[in-house]
Amino acid sequence: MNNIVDAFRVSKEYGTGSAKTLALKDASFFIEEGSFTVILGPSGAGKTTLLNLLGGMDRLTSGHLRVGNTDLASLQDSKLTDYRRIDVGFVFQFYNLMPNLTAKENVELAVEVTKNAFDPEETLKQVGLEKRENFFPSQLSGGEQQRVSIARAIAKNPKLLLCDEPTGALDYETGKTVLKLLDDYSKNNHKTVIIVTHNAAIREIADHVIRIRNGMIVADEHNDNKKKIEEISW
Amino acid sequence: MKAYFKTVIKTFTGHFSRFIALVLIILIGISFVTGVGGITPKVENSINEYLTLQNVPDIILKSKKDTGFTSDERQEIDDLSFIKETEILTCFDTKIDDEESRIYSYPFDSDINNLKLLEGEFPDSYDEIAVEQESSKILKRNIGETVTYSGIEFKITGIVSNPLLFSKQGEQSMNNEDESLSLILYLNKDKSILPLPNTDIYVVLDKKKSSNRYSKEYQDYVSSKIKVIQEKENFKEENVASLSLEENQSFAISENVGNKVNVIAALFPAFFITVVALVVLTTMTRLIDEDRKLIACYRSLGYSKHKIRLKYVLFALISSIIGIAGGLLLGSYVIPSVIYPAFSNVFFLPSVTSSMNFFIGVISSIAMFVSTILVTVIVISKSLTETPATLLLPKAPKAGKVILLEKAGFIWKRLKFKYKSAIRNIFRYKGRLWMIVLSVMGSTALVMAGFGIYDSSSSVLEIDGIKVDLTSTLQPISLLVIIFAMLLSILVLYNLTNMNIGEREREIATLKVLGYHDLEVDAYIFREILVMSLFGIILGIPLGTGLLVFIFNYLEFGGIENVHWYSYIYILSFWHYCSLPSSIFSLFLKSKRSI
Repeated sequence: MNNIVDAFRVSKEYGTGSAKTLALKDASFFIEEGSFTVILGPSGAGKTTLLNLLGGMDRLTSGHLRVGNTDLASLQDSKLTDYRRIDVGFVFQFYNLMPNLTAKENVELAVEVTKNAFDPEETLKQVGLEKRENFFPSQLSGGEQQRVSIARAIAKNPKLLLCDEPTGALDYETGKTVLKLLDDYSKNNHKTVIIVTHNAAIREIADHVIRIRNGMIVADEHNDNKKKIEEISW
Repeated sequence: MKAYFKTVIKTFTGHFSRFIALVLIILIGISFVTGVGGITPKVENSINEYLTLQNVPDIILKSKKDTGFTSDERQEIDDLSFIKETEILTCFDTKIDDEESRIYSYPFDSDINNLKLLEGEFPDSYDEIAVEQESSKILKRNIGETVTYSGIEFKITGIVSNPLLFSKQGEQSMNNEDESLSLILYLNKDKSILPLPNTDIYVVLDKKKSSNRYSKEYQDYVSSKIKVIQEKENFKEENVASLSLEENQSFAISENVGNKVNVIAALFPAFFITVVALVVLTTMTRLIDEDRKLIACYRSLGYSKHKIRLKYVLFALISSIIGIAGGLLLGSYVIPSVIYPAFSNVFFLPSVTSSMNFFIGVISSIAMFVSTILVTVIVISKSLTETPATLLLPKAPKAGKVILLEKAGFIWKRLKFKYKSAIRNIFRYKGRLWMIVLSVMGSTALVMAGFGIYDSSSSVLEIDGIKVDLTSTLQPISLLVIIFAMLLSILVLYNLTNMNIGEREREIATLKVLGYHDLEVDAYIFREILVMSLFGIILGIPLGTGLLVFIFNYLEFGGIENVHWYSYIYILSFWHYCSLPSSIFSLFLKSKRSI
C-alpha cells in the first residue's frame, strides 16, 4: 500500500521567548492511502495542531511533511492555499457553514474553486440531504449541518479528508450516523480519512490509530480486527 | 477594584483602532461645526469691535435742503436725552474730471467716526486733502499727487481708511446708483475755504458698551430712536434722511454675507452630527457585541450591572471628551485661519481679530456628547437585560434568508454564485445596510453640496457687490466642506469595513480553509461594502441636489445648472479614493489575523 502521508520529526512551536510552547515534538508516522485513521489524545495533546499542519492551515517549525507529492514544509503561502483548495477537505466540530448560503450553495462554494469535483446535488444525495438542499444552516439540525459540511468536504474529491472532532457537538446516535458516513465514504471510494478525537471508543472502528500526548506520539498501531460502527458504544 | 480598573484600560488598548476612529470622527464633526459655525460671529464681532473703537455714528442724518443743517438744528438733536454726542460735517457726491467722487469736509479732531491714517498726514491747510485707500473700485492715489476741484488744486497729504467703508467693493454714488465712486477725498473742515453747507449730522446714541451692531436688539433700538427724531418738525422725512447702519453699504454687505454663511453653517453641522451619531451608534453596538463573553464573565462573577455599564460609558465618555476637545481646538484655531482670509478678500478686516465665538461649537459638542453617552447607555443596557447564561452563548450569526430578488427566478438563476451570496448578505444585516447607506448618503450629499457651491461660485460673473463678495467667501468654505466630508467618509468606510470583517471572522476563516485565495476573500467582503456604498451614492445624489437647490434658493445665487458634469464624476471617483485608504488599512489589519 502507498503512504499518502509521510511525516518525519514534525515539530511545531507557538509564540516566542518565555511564552514559547512546543505543541508538537518530533512526530514521525505514515498514513496509508485509503485508510480510516484516528488521531487520539486528550485535550491539549497537539491533535488539532497536527491536523492543522496536515491541512496546510499552519506551518511546521521543523521536520518534513509530505502529503501525496506535496512537500508541505517548503510550500509558499499561495501554493498552500492551492493545496487546501484541491487536495484536502475539512470537517469541523462546529460545522463552519456559511450562514447566508443554502446547503447546496455551501457545497457549491467549495466546488467552485476546485478541479475534478463531484456534482453538489449528487453529493448531498449521498449524505441523505437531497430534500434539504435549499435549506439554510439555521433551518437544519446539528446532524444535518454536519452532513452538509461533510458533503462540502467530499464534493471537492480531496486526497485527504480531515475531521476535527466531527461528533463532538452531536448526540450519540447522530454522532454514529456521521461516523458511518465517513467510514462508508472511505471504504467505498478508497479515500483517506483522518479523524482527530479524544473519544477512545472511536479507535475501534479505525484501520490505523495514532495516539498523541503532550505533543508526542506515544503509540502508532494498526487495527487488525476493526469493528463495525454498530458494535461500538461510548 | 484594581483588576476592574485594568479591564477598563484594556477596553481602550483592546479596541484601540476603534477608539481612534471614534475620536477622529467626533473630532472632525466638532471641528467643522465649530470652525464654520463660529466664523460669522467672529467676523461680525471683529467688525463690531472695530466700529466701536472708531466710534462710528449709529445714525446719520442727511439734510435734503441745499442749505443743510443749522447749528440750532444740531442743538435740537444734542438736547435729546438718548444722544451721547453728535458731529456736523459735509459730504456730497460730484464728478471730478468725469470720475464719480465724494467730497467730505471733515472735522479730523472729532471723536466720532475716527478716520485711520494709513500713510502721510492729515491735511492741515485749505489746499490739502486726504484720500480714501485703494480698493476694487476706488483708484489708487499717491501722496503728493493733486486733485483739482472748484478751481483749487488740492495736494494729497494722507491716505486714510473710513470705518464706514470697510467693504472692498467700494461705494455707490448717491447721485447715480449704477456708478461706483472712484475717488473719496477729505478736506479739513476747520481750514476749508469752500462755502459748503453742513449736509450731515453724525449721531452717537447712548447705548450699552457691549451692544452688537449686528444684533436685532441694537437695530430695533436705533430704529425706535430714528422715529423719535423724525417726529421733530425740522427732521420730518421730507427734509431729512435718517440712516442707520443698515443703510451703510459696507455694513449691509457684511450682514448679508454673514447671514448666508450662517445658513450653510447651520445646515452642514446638522448633516455632520447626524452622520457622526450614526457611526457612534454602530461602533458602540459592535464593541459591546464583541465584549459579550466578557460581560457574561462579569455578570457570572457577580459584578453589578452598574459597574459593567460604567466601563463602556467611560469608553464613550473619554473618546468623546478627547474628540470634542480636539475638535474645539482645531475648529477655533485652524479652520478660522483658513476661512478668515476669505473674508479679508472682501472686507478690510482689523488685523487683531476678536476671539472665537463658541456658541454653535459648544451647542454641537453638548449634543454630540449627550448622544454618544445616551447611545452607549442604551446599547449596554440592552445587553445587560439578557441573563448571564444567554450572554455566555455566542450571539448566533444572523440566519440567511431567501430574499425578494430570488423570487424573480429568471434574474436570480443568471447571477453568479458569489453575487448571490453578496446580495443575500447585504439584506441579511438590515441595520448595517441602513447605517452604511445613510452615512454614505449623507456624506455624498455633503460632498455634492461642496462641489455645487464651488462650481456655482466660480461661474458667477455679475459685477454685483454682494454676489461677488459672497462668491469669494463661499469658495474656501466649499473647499472646506469637500475636504471634511471626504475625511468623514474615509473614517466611516474604514469603520464599517472593519466591523464587517470583525463580524464575519468565522466566515472568512471558512473561506480560507476551503482554499480561497486572499484576493477572493477580500472581494467577498468588499463586494458588499461596494454595493452598499453605491446605494448610498445613488440616493445621496438626489439628496445632495435637494440640499443644493435649497442652498441656492436661500443664497439667491447659483443654480443646479451651474454644477459641472465632471463634478458628478468627481463625486463618484471621490468615493473610489475614499474607499481605497480605508480598504487598505482594514486589509492591513485583517492580514495580521491568520486562520
